[in-house]
Amino acid sequence: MKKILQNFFKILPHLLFVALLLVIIFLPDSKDVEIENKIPFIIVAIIFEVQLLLQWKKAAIYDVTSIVFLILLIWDFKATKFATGRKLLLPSPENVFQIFVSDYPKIIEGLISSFRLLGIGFLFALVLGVVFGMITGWFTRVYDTVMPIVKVISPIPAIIYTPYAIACLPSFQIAQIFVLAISMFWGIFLNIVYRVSHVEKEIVDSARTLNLSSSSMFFHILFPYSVPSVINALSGSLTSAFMVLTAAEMIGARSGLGWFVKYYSDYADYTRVVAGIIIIGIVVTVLNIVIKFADQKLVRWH
Amino acid sequence: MAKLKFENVYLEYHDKNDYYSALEDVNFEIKEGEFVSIIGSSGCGKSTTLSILSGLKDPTKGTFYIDEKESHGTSINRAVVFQNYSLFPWMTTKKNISFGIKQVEKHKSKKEIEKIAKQYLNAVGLDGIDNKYPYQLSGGMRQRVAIARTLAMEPEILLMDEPFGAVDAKTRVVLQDMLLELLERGNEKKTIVMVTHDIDEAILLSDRVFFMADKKIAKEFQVDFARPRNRQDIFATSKYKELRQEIMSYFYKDVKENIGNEEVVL
Repeated sequence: MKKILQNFFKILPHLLFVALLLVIIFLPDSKDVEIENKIPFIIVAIIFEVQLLLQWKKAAIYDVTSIVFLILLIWDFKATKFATGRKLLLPSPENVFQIFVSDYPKIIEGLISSFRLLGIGFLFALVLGVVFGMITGWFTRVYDTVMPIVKVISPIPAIIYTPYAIACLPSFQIAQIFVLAISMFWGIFLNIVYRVSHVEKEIVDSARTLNLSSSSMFFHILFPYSVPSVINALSGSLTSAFMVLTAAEMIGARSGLGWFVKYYSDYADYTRVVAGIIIIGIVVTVLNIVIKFADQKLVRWH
Repeated sequence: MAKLKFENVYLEYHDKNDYYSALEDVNFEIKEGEFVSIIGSSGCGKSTTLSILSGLKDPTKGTFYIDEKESHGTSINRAVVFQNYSLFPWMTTKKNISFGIKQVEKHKSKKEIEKIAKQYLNAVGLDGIDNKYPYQLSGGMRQRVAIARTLAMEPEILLMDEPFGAVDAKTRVVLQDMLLELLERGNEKKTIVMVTHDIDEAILLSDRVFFMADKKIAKEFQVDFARPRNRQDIFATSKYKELRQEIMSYFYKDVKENIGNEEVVL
């Protein structure tokens, strides 16, 4: 009995995939809905099926994929096939995924705009966080002076600074970079301070007996020793910085993914709004994958 | 001329309301090329003595001389093997050794340094693990690499803090024999101080054994077996048995006096 059930859950996603394709292609659309192009949606369904086939060894992937197909199926039923009055608020999936094709220059432009700000803010946060973090963690005197102040300032959510920064700084971009840098800085800084101030005594002793200069101590010992904590900090703060960015773009920007979503919701174009939300989800996922990859590549010794 | 000399050395910690002493009036001289082991139970001050010898700590009273000159802090003519963690976990085996050499031979090219590193890896019986990280090695292999790194730096003074304390009994025998062989091989004799709590190890390797108890050197033993030494030959002699017995009796006396104070590992 248990075996039968297990096999059923292994076959279920494939059944749902076939059902989804049949529904998309053959079930007539509701009269109120205009469908331009079904192919992007079909491609999305195929992508999910392919990733299932590629990861067939993992048990959990079957259930996850089943749920995804189920959601797409219900969505398609509600929004395309049997759409009723609220079709404006619930755009049909065919049209949403078509946006990826029709609006792709705008989306790429938004991505570049968002990532330029994120990248510059990240660089500032990284350099300042690493340098000040190592100094604060290493010198007890600096630690004792700086940390009481840090404990007050660091918990303030960076996004709070946004309106003030926009008012104070010469351009929206600079204000945005400032807020992004702060939102990532504290995570990196605090993680490094903790790691450096708790460095194993044996490692320091071993380094000291090599008679290292202080610059060598920082560059060859404390810095590589801190790399895992930087990555650890980033896994949380990079995605939350992206959220800060998209949220801020809804306030004052004229480009970027957050702006994209806000702009079209002002025109009640919920097809584009949903497409924008999905893209943001994809971006966050890709960021997390990149960090995980960096973790495996840079911290192989851990 | 004494290579290393302690003159009335004290090490005391003063806190706001805490006073603690780790060494009290320690005196000794170690000649160039001599191998000295320091043994004693935990808390007797043997590791603190090594910390001063390595320059990680300075005496709070008294003087520590190297080559008859007062010494403070670390210097590059001394190299240390710790029980654990001598190696940097983020560097591969080859990098770890090269990093040590680089601190001594600043003018040498990367290629030359790597060649030396390879030679010493080979000397400690490790080939083909150049690009392995310390966590990928067994405890015994890590200590081999640590020894290779210190020897590759060609220090005048080699200091070891329970170098084989964290490896299993079989590996320990192998490593001791390896160390004996490596020390015979070197053209100029290094001055070596080793902290251990293994009496057999102390007798097998050293020329003199310091027995420390209660923050002082309580007794010195001369070990005059001829070199090159062989484990089986030495352990079979009655001289060895007597010496071991004598050191043991000091251990027991120390244990009885400090019962309940410290955990004693023989």
